[in-house]
Parts: sequence; C-alpha cells; structure tokens
Amino acid sequence: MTALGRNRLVSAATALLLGSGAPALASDTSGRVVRYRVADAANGALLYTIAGWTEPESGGGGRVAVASKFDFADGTSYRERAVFADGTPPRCLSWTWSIADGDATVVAAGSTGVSDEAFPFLRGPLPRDVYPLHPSYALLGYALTHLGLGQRHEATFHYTLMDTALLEMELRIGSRETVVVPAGRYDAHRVRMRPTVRSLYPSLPASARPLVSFFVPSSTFWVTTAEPQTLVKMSGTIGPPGSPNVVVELVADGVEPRDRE
Amino acid sequence: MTLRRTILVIGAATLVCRTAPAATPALLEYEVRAAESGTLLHRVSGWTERAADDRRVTAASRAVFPNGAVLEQRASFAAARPPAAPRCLDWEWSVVDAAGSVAASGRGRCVAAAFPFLARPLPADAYPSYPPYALLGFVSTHLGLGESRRSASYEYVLMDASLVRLDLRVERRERVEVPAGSFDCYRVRMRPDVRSILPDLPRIVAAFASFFAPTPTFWITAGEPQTLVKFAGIIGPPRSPDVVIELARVTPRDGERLGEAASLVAR
Repeated sequence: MTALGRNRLVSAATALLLGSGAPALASDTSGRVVRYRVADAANGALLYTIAGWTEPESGGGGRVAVASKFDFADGTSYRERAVFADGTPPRCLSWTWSIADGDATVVAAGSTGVSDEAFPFLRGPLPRDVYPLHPSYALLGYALTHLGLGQRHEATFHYTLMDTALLEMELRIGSRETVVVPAGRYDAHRVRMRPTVRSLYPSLPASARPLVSFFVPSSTFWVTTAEPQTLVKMSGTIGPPGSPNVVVELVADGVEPRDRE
Repeated sequence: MTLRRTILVIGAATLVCRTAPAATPALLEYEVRAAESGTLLHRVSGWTERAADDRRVTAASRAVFPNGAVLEQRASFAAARPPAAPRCLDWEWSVVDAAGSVAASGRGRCVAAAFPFLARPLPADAYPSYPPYALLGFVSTHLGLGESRRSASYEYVLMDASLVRLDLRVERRERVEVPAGSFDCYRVRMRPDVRSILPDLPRIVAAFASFFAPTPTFWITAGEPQTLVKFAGIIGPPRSPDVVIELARVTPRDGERLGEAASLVAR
C-alpha cells in the first residue's frame, strides 16, 4: 500500500552533510558543501534545493555545527543550524532555524537548547540519541551518516514529535548497490527507515503489531560505503502524514567559497 | 488503543473567551493532571488581550511546571463572529527554565511562506499545532458550537509539513463539576480525519482506522462567552501525555471587573 507510504515519520534524510567526526571538521576548513535537489516523487517536479555544510564550533570537545539552506522556487528560504557533540551517535546540543519569504522577511523562526527543560511536556528525560524534529534535515541527515551504518546493520534513534512525544525510528541496511545521481555514481548502502510500531502505537496489542507494521510507511535512503559517509539519495516522505513524497538526490559535493552561503 | 495515539493537537487548555461580543477580562486558571494517576503535571493560566481597534485579539497562556519551567504562549487572531472561525495571524512561545534562561523559543506568522514544506497552500482555517494551548484552546471556544451548530472542523499544521483535519461534534449538554464550580456545558468530541492523515487509504480501511483514532473530549460552557471547562484525552501525537484538564479558578485580572465571566461560575 503505497497509500500508507504517505504516512509520517520524519525521515529526515534530506539534508545532510558531511561525514563523520574528524573528517567533518576537516571539511570545515576545506569549505566542502553538499548540494541536493528535492523533487516530487509523483511527477519529478523540483520542489526545492538544499545546500549543507559544517562549520567550526567553539567550545571544543569535537563540537561541530551542521548548517543547511533550502531554496524554494517562490523565493522562500529556510535555514537551519544545529550543534553536535562528538560521539556515536552524535549528541545534538542545540539548533536554530528560520524561514524568510521572497522579500527576505523572516516569517518564522525558532531556537532550542537540547535539555529536559526545553521539553516540559515529555515524560522522562531525553535520551542521548534524540534529535529535534525541526529542523529535521540537518539534524537527522547528519545523524544518519554518523551512526556507523555499514559497520552495523541496524540502528535506532529518537526524535521529538511536536515537542510532546518521542518517536523511535529504526534503520536497517539492505543491499549494497551502485547509485547514480546527478553528482555521479556511488557505491552505497541501501537503508530502510521507519518508525517502530511500539513507538507509534504503544497501546497496540503485541499480536496486532505484525499486521500494523505492514502499513507503517518506510523511507529508503542511500549512504556512501566510503568514509566520510554522505547521503546520496533518499526516497519517501519527509515529515508526518500527508507530507510530500519526495526523491532527494545529491547533485554536487565539493569545495565552494563559504561566503556564497 | 492504538492509533489512539496518532496525532492531533488538541489544545484544550488555554482558553479564553469570545471575541464577540467581548473578551473576558478574567484570568482562567487550569490544572493539568495525568489521567491515570491524577498527578499534577502543570498549571495553565489563560487570558485574552484585545487590540485597541478591536480587530485583533490575542490569546495568551502561561504554563508552570513542577520543575520550575515556564511555557508562555501568545497567538493573535483576527476578530470574527461564529460560525466564522477565528483566523490566526501570528504566534510566539518560549520556555524558560527554573534559572530564568530561555531554553527554547519560536515565533511565526500564519502565512503560506512560513510553511514552505506543505504540499498545498495554507488554508484560511489552519492553525499551527504549536503552541497548542493558546491556539487550539482559543479556537475550540470560538466556533459557535452548541445547539445551533452541532459540528465543526478545522485543520492544523502538523510538524510544519502536513495538514490534519480535526472534526468536532457536540455530543450532549450536561453539567460538569470542576474545582472552579459547576457549569452547564456542551460535551464535544474531537476526532482527526484519518483520510487527511492518510489520503490514499481505502475508505473501508479508513473507517477501521477511525475506530482506533484518539477522540479527546472537552466541555465548553453553554453560556456566553464560551469557555473551556474541562478536557480529557491526549494532547499531542503518539506517547503524549493522557491528561485531564480542569478549570480551577476564574479571577478578575489586574483589578478589572469580572464581567461576563462571573456568570460562568454557577456555584
């Protein structure tokens, strides 16, 4: 049922930036920028483009800032920046985002420090592998390439859902395959991502979970087998039920003048 | 139940009063408790502020948590008379920790450009899902629900990326006892439209799924200005707290006359 393929789950997958730990910091000085195009899966129409990069972050401890900018056809732009601590999985420390319309007027913005106090509606403390939902792209895209996928075949992480709940996502590596995108050909791991049934429907009887899991939508993404891991492609929904079904493809990966962003 | 935990942001708690004929000058105080244990989760106080030109009303609320965190929310609406739904103009919120530091904040305007990830344009009757108290609690008491209007619906933006339609239906008129007193109320059931969440779902499957969808209930006064008296259900998506919200007190604010809100307290 492709229908349900429209479900939710913040797949994230799109943004994303550079490779792991030290390599990512190395790219700070190199000016590496990764670019993606995001198209409507149904008709191939371009929805928006993404540029992602990392920046040095003060505070030491291997901290890295993951930044991205989304450009829409109508001139709207969306910017996000998240700070991560080093480690596996990387721990998110804070994030900010803003949306500006075609006249460069900021029409929405947010800022959050990742702490229990910032999520007063949640029951229990935040897990270490939690990533905020908004902005989902830089956070989850960065996290996805920093979970050691390839060395391990499965992984899970959490993200905050509307600041009142936590959803657990499961990732499972499938085949290893060559993926062709505008940026070139890549040897990649194919990974299926979807929310866990127990997370989506905590009160569902265990006996019913297999049936329901059939309807739980999943997204697929491909990350390079080579380090630093980079998101090459993603197919599925980015967001909750009713979100557009999209195809994200890497279109460029190289050094660019930082001031262009 | 299962899908019970689906989505929907109810909003329920804040509340305030009607923009027409007059905003209530009262401060409405609520207690939010865990449905199962009765544990006090936080307290919410809500009020409205009317612009000098009477064309805009702001629903404000302040939630205080046991750990000292404070969530403040404000949402402005274009004044409207039911059954026209109030249109949200802008919103802002912040969470301040016990030490007085801002731990999180957000703000935005309810314009299409603020929601670039939506697959379709932002409808006029759509509301941001956050902050839930100020926005949806206010809306629920401004739809003219009662004898003459037994049902209504509106959409809210889920995670900035999709729109979920929420159907409201008046079930019955009944008396409700809460700490603030005894109130003559309409009991209203909320239900998310499953097909707005899963548009390609076969109709028969959607009907089945609807059975499991969460259906929070709230009670609003039969008298004007309508005010939220009680709410029972889940506020938020899966795994969000299942709560009971009750009106604890209605007091004049800043020395103002209690006005119409006085009639709410039918002791």
